[in-house]
Amino acid sequence: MEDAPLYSETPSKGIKYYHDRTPAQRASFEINKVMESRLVFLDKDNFSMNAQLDALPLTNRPGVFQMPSFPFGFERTEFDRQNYMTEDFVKDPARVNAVRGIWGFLMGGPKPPPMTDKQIHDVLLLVKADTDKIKSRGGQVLFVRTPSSGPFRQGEKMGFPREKYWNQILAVTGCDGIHFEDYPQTANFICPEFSHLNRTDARLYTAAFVKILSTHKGWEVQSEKLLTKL
Amino acid sequence: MVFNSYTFIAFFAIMLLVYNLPISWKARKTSLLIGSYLFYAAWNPPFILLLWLSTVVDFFVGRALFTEENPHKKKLLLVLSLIGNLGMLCFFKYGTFLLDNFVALTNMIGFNYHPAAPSIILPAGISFYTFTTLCYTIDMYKRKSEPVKSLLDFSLFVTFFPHLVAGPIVRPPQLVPQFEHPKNATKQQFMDGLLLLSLGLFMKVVLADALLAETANSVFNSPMALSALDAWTGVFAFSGQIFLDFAGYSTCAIGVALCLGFVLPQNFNYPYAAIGFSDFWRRWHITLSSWLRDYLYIPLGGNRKGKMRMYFALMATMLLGGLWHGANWTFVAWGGLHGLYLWTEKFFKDRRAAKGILEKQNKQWLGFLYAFFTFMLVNITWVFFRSDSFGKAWQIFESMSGMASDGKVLLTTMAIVKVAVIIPAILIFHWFLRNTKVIEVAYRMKWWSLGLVWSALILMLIWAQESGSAFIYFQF
Repeated sequence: MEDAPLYSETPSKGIKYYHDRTPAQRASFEINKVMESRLVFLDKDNFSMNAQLDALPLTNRPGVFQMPSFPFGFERTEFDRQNYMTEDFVKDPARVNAVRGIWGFLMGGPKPPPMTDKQIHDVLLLVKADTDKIKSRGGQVLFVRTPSSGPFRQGEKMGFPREKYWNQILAVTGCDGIHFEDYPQTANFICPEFSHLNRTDARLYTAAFVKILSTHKGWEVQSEKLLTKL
Repeated sequence: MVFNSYTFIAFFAIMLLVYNLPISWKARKTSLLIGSYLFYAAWNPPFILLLWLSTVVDFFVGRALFTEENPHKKKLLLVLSLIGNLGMLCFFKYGTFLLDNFVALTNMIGFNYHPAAPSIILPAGISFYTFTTLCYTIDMYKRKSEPVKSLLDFSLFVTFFPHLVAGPIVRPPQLVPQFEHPKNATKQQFMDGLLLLSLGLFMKVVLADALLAETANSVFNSPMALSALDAWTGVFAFSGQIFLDFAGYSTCAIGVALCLGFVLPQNFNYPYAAIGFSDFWRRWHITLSSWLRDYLYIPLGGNRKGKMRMYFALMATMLLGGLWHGANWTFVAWGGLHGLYLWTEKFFKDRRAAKGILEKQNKQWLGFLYAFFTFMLVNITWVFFRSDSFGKAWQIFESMSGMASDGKVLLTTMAIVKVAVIIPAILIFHWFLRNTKVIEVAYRMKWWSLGLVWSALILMLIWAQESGSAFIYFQF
């Protein structure tokens, strides 16, 4: 009997778990849902025994990697799997700065040398093989570049210049794409911690994105469905 | 269904309610039986058929074995029953393993044989309930006890949900007589049961899952060689995890049964305070080791047919005991290493006896030192038990010895601190409680101190916030 895979596992593992769940696991999930929506529980990521112990200021030996823990309120997941940062978090510069610090920590450290054009092209050919497969089965593929801002966006521009990556991926795969910087209604969002939108802006961005999909790309989108529960 | 889940809490509450209704004893037993089948079906409903098949066949074959006078027919019945029970176990548990070894062998001698990989699902608890029914069949053959009178009692004996999936492995005389007359848990039994259930969940959820599992997993799943400190910490973490996980399950099982008024046999008795390996096996998974002693070691000759036979029987028992735990040669190596330890211990014991040196009571500190030495040797065996291949086991041994070139540092300081606190605490607890029972300790405590400890266990359970992960021994 497998335990539920973590969100960081591959999607196929999650799908396999979903289909293979035992009756006991299904029942436990339903009971959990009822209880967690009506009772108060400790936030596991921040207040459980392990989270509190790991937050103690102990220095690790040189060479040990410890994933930093994100501050409370950065990531709340609802039962519909919508994920958002709380208002409380957005208003607290200390916590927002803590997340910015985590991005800095994760971006820091030694980096491999930049990829050559040939290496990039080879990777894109692999992507093309996948998008072609989706298309051959009747699917539509559209690449989406969601907003980022501040030093994070500056770093992306230097590390992954648009001409070399975004433009190339569309050219090689022959697919369409929506880049947030190409549309005035999505170009100027400011991400509190440089990488994700706050809840209000996430709603605005999604509404704008749906509109772009239908007006510029010709997709028929049931916007109500996308926007409910957000 | 695992004990550490909301589903079980709901299930158990309903079972307690139905079982205590003012209805006939037969109806109450029937409710327990139906509940036990539901408990089992919560994993994989079709496998209930296997359980039924095993129950019905063994009930009727057992009765026939007891009454049959013709020795040839009797033997034939026994063989048929053994083939049925062990055949089922072999197919589901060892089918893939046997095929893999057969393919490796044929390829080694030059045949290019590559069959499709079989996809066999292991029914939960098959090793446990097969051993439960096997001992009944063998007892009937030897007429060691009376056959169970009703199919209902026999089915409940095999299927009783607290012990069904991971033991304790129960013998018919231990449980069947308890089904013969109406019984209710006394208030004392009920409270003891709840205390044991809380303690078992604390061991599993807080200590094994929340504090040790991640460290053990990251060390044993590491693709690279590690520093000696990391490797030893991982092995210690696993030795704590496997004990707390399995003894936690047994404690829950005993507690749940006690809440219903039934007494299950003890399965662990502070094993990490064992002085030597005979003592270890009298304290670790007691119901399995006594089963192996009575139904394998003694029939193989035991210590009645000379020294060489005894050494052979001992090693064969430990190797098969290892294989019982899982279809992998690493489990056989684990059993074999325990066999070697037992051989060595026996050898020195016999030599001392031959020289007329009497066994004497060790001083407290010396006894603890011997127990610590035993514990350290047990840790070596856990490396085989936890590793999924000999290559992995070798990598861990190399890391433990400090000889791994470029051993990486992996564990955080907090992970090391957790192990450094919990493992010595387990050793000290085991040492000071080694001649007592946890429930006796609870009886000796003042009501307020017991209340404080019990509340602390429950608060820690809530604080741990672990989801209901499966018990390690379910896979065996």
